[in-house]
Amino acid sequence: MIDIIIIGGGIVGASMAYELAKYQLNVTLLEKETELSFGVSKSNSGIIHTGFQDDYNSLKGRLAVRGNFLYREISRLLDFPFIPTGELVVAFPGEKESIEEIKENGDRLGIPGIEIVDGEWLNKNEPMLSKEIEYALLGPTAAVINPWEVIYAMAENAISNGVKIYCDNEVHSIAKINNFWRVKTYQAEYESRYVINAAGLSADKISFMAGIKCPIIIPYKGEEFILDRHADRLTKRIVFPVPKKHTKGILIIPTVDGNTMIGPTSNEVTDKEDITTTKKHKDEVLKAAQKLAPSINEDLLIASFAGLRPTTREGDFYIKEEQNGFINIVGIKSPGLTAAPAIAEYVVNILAENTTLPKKKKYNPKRKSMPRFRLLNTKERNTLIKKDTDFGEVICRCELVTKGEIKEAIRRGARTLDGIKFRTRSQMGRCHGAFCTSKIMAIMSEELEIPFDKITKRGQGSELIKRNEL
Amino acid sequence: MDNKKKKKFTCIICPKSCELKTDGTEVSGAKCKRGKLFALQEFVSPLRVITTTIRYENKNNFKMVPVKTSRAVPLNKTFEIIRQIKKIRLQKIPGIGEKIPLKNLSEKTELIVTGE
Amino acid sequence: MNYKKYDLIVIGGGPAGMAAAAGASSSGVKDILILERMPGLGGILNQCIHLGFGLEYFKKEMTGTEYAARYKKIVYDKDIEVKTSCLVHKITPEKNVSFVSRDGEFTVSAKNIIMATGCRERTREMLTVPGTRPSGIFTAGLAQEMVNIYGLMPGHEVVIVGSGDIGLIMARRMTLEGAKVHFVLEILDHLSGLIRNKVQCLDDFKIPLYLEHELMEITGKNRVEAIRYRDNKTGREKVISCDTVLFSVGLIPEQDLLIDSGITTGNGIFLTGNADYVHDLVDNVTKEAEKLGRSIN
Ligand SMILES: Cc1cc2nc3c(=O)[nH]c(=O)nc-3n(C[C@H](O)[C@H](O)[C@H](O)COP(=O)(O)OP(=O)(O)OC[C@H]3O[C@@H](n4cnc5c(N)ncnc54)[C@H](O)[C@@H]3O)c2cc1C
Ligand SMILES: Cc1cc2nc3c(=O)[nH]c(=O)nc-3n(C[C@H](O)[C@H](O)[C@H](O)COP(=O)(O)OP(=O)(O)OC[C@H]3O[C@@H](n4cnc5c(N)ncnc54)[C@H](O)[C@@H]3O)c2cc1C
Ligand code: SF4
Repeated sequence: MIDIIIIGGGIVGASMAYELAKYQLNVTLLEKETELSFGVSKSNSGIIHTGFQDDYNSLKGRLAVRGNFLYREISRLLDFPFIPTGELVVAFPGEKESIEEIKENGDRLGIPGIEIVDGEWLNKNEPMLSKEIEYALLGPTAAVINPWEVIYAMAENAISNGVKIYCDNEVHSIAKINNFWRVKTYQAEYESRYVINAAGLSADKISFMAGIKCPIIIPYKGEEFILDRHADRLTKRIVFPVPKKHTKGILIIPTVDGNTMIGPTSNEVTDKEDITTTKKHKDEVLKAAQKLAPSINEDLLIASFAGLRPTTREGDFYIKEEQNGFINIVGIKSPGLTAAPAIAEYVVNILAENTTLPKKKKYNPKRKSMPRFRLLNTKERNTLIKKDTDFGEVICRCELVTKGEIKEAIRRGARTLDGIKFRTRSQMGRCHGAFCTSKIMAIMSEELEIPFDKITKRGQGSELIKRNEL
Repeated sequence: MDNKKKKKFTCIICPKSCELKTDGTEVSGAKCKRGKLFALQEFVSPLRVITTTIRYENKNNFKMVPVKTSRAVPLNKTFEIIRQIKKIRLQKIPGIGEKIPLKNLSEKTELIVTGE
Repeated sequence: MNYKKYDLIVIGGGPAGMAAAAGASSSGVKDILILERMPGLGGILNQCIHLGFGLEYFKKEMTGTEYAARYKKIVYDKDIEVKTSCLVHKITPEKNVSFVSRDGEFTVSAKNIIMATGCRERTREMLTVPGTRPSGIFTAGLAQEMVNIYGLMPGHEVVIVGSGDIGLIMARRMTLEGAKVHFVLEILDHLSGLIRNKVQCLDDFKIPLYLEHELMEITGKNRVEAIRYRDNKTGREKVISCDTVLFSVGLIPEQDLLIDSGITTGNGIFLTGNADYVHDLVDNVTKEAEKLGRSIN
């Protein structure tokens, strides 16, 4: 019998798996998509917030601050980039009071290093920002990550410590039988003592499946736009306007990979699958970003995407053991990415109230990142090529990704073109896959022993080609 | 020129793309003789060389072999010819310039391999 | 492995690179190296199985593949060192050229460098068009590679956005392979490719070209399901269902090797072919590049 089933392989589910892997427990994670991180967690701003924008009284505020702290150690152990850019909340004339309030809130949360800086400081340190900005609140603890990279890192570590992860496994029924839960997916059936519901946008649905009431999830769409590398160094720090009621506003985000991102919008939508981007919101984002940094213009846009925040009317995170071993993690909107490791810790504490949780005697705390040819020096590159000549065949010329890396990504579980993209950065460069897609498909076909027409962008239904043989 | 029968074509023989007019006997607009011939032919029945690929595959090797018809064929026979080409199975990878016979066609033509 | 210093390194072995090297060789330049990232010479011509090449230069109408084969012979008949499957990823103002191959990463230096790296397709429209981002969206050149090199069929119900040559050529190619190509949308009031390609690729197969029409939205969750487009003359919008959208919205000279290292041309560094500016005709590419090659010393 399984001890714990985690439903959902986003950042929350992955954090749960990573955290629970430390204990003598039999843990299984079920994910409906073809790969982990294909839900909300792949489409966000990638910011590890300081936490000061969330109320000091709220659960999400406290967990965000704790999460921010935990990421430092985790990024070191799991070998993923965590770039401590810091953040600025900028005040235009008349807005100084708002940032003072945020600072006060931040002080109550115990966030280190926050201070208010003036126009002169900004001029010197962030010269691309609008000269109309008078003050800004500086939060040095903010950072950026690649969310999918964190999820894959956590999952790889968890797997190495015995956690089972099954993708393409959509849960459709959950029932309490005596003292265990029977969880059915379209592919298989599982029994376990605990169920942890980390199903993101579907968390309410999963809870109702088990016959348990919980807050209803309302999706709030956020559209984001990526600027070309030429615009990198636009700002060194993440830049926020003074927050509005439902959101932190439209930001400038220096990403891990050296691009700049602008967004997100925030609009309530009815469809949990509505990830369309619109002209209206593109214009809205551009206008808002230009207000912060006037040199931003439409010609710099090279890509766009949208994600849905799983929001509840109540607003705060809803994390609770409901009855006999069913734990709900519901309403994990922003700062969910930031809080995730702290959410996992929080849930383990809930579990520890009723059971003893002995730690594993043999535990592997580490995980090595994928080899990144582009980031190596000549000597390291040649060592790699000597070991495996596939590292000498460049497949994605824009990001200098080699065949060796594509094969390694597949070895680590990539099953789709998006999965390979997230793990290697291939298809993400200037040509957006025009040069490398066929070559990657050929490698996938060979390594996974599947015909070309079974290769998908992100799972069944998104096959790239219609027919194999001309 | 007989205005009733007059038809207009854009010459595709060379990139100059002359605008041609013809009634089936006279041609205007052509900058060269090949264009004139093109217009006269186009007036009766357009002819085109078809280019496509043939699949070669065995256990460890695979290649799309590019081919063209050895002469221009009537445009309205294009799909008939393509269907015949699709039936061909190659036993080995042919060299550039090699000829591949085409059978059971109302038009007589063969294929010429255009790639190495 | 130790490399000597070359008189000329040509980056890219497409028609421009081959011609530049051949030109230089025939005017007496000695140590010449061509570095090409693909397994063979020929560049984009290797996926151009259609006719329309060589009329000027070889006085014969040929396919792109035939043109490439013919010119390759010229190169191999000369004393030119050719290294394929070598991707150049860095050049410096001192004219050091670094490349990656299955033998390792190497840096070689030269008196002169000719960049003949071709061009890449524009994708900006494709990536910021409103709507969803399902599979079934390709640049025309990627679709061309899939069909002509890999023998794969990207889709059955196709809309082509942009009237560039690759899009026109692919309209015919997809039609011949059994796809239904609904139409070509062009936002401008004129064709952007060659007229002869419109005649042979669209008109011959009764594929409409809609000028002054704009793509407004792509829909479909996992795979393209439809597009919405607008007639900019009337403002009227329409929706058509399709499973594939091909973009042929322009080419950008591939000069990133220079841009990334902050190098400009001059001082023994040259650009030629499509890497310099986009050419419609390979014959002109060959002539210009040969001329440049001959001027090297
Ligand atoms: C535009 C945008 C920007 C954001 N920016 C930030 C930011 O900068 N910083 C930050 O901290 N937070 C940010 N967030 C919030 C953050 O992205 C989310 O809080 C977080 O990703 C939620 O993670 P999750 O694991 O709960 O959800 P998900 O990642 O959606 O994971 C849930 C998983 O459950 C799976 N699932 C659902 N139903 C089933 C089923 N029946 N069976 C099996 N599996 C199922 C789903 O497929 C999914 O993979 C942002 C959100 C958005 C939309
Ligand atoms: C679909 C299509 C249809 C066309 N139709 C016609 C036609 O009908 N008639 C006609 O005359 N012309 C036509 N052309 C135009 C003609 O093919 C081009 O103008 C010509 O190929 C350009 O040559 P090039 O050598 O500059 O570029 P390319 O052919 O693109 O060659 C560039 C070479 O450089 C290599 N390279 C790039 N970067 C690197 C690097 N970092 N390291 C190593 N190698 C590198 C590439 O692999 C490639 O081999 C067509 C082009 C296309 C795409
Ligand atoms: S008429 Fe002659 S010059 Fe004019 S397009 Fe035809 S072939 Fe070229």
